[in-house]
Amino acid sequence: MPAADLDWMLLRALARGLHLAGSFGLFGTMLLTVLFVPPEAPLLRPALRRFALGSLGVALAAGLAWFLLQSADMAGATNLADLWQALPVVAESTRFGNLLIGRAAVLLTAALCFQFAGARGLGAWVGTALAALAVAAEAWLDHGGAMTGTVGSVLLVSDIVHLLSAAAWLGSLPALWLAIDRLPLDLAARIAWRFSPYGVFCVLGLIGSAVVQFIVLIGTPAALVTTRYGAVVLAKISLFLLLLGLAAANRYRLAPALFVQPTARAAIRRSIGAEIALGMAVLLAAGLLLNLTPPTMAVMLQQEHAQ
Amino acid sequence: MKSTIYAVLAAMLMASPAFAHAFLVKSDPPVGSTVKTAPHSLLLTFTEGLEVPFCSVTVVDGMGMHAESGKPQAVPGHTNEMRVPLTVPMPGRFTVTWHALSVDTHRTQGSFSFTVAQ
Repeated sequence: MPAADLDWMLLRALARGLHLAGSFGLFGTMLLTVLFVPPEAPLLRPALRRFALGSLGVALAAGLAWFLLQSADMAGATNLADLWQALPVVAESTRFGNLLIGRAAVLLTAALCFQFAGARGLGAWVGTALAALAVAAEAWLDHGGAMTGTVGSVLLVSDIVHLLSAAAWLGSLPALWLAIDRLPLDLAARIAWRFSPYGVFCVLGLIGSAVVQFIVLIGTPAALVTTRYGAVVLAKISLFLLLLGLAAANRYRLAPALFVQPTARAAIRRSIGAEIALGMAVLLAAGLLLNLTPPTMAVMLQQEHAQ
Repeated sequence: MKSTIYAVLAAMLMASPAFAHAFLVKSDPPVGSTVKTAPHSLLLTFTEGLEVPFCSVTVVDGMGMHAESGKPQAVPGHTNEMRVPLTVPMPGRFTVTWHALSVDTHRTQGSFSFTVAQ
C-alpha cells in the first residue's frame, strides 16, 4: 500500500475508532445509570449527563470525519470538488451513508432521552435501548453485515454480541469512575461490587464472539503472526488481557477493600483510569482492524488478481 | 440447545470459503467463454452487496476500443449484481476490468476476457 494511502487509511481508522468510543461512552453511561446508580445520588447525575453529552459530541464529530474520509475513499476523490460531488451520492445511495446518518439521529435521540428523562423511568430505558441499537448498527458495516449465507448470519450475530459486550463494559467504565469518585464510600463500594459480575458477563460475550470471528476471518493461528491483520489482533488480545488483569484486581482486591478502607478509593480510581486508557487503545485497534483485509479474504484477493 | 450449537459450529467450519469482500461469482457472458452473438450487456454477479454508484467496469477489444456504452447499473432485487450496457461493433476478444465497492466499503478488482465469435 502506498504511503499516502496508508496515511488516509490510518485517519479513517482513527475516526472510526473515536466514533465507536463516543457511541460506546454514551451507551455505557446510560446503561450503568439505569442499572446501578441509586436515585439518592444528586451529585453524580449532572456529571453523568455532562459525560454523556461529551460522548455524543465525540461520536458525532468523529462520525462526520469518518463520513468525509470514507466518502473520499469510495469516490477515489483527489480534490475537494470530487468529494463535494460524492457526498450526496454516499449519503443517499449507500448503506454506509444511510447507516451513519441514521445512527447519528438515533444517538442524538438517545442522548436527549438521557438528559430529560427521569433516572430510571421509561424514558431512560428507551434512551438506553436506542443507544444499544446505534451501537449494534455498526455490525452492518462490518464483515458480517456484508457476507451472505449461514456464515454471514453467524458472523453478523457475533459482531452484534461483540459490539454490545464491549460497549456495555468499556463504555461504562468512565461512568463507574465518576460514581466511585463522587458517591459516598458505602454507595461507591456497592456499585463497584455489583459492577464485577456485570463485567464478567460482558467479558464472556466478548470471548465467545471473538472465537467465532477468529474461525471465520483469521482461520489459522499462524495467520496471527504472518499477516498485518493478525498483528493487530494480537495487539488487541494483549490489551484485552491487561484489561482482564485490572478487572480481576478490582474484583478480588480493590472493590472488597472499598467497603472498609477509604484509602482504597484512590487505588480503584487509578485502576479504572488505566482500564479506560487501555479500552481506548482497544477501540483504536478495532478501528484499524476494520480497515484491513482479514487473512481468509486476503487469499481470495490474491486469487482474484491472479485471474 | 447443544445440537443447535454443534450445527452452527459445523456450518461455520464446513461452509468455506467465507466472503467479506465482493468477489466475482459469475458473469454473463461467462468468464473465458466464446459467444456466437454480440451481447447487448454484461451482467456481473458478486458474493455480496455492491455500492453500484462507486463500481466501474471497462470492456476493451484487442485494438483498445471501449465496448461499454454506459456506467454500471444496479439490478433491481439483486444487490449483488450490476449490468453494463455494451455496444460491440465487431467480433473479437474483449477484456473486462472491474472495480467493485462492497456495502462494507471494501474495494476489490479483477479482470477476465470473453470472445465474440466471427
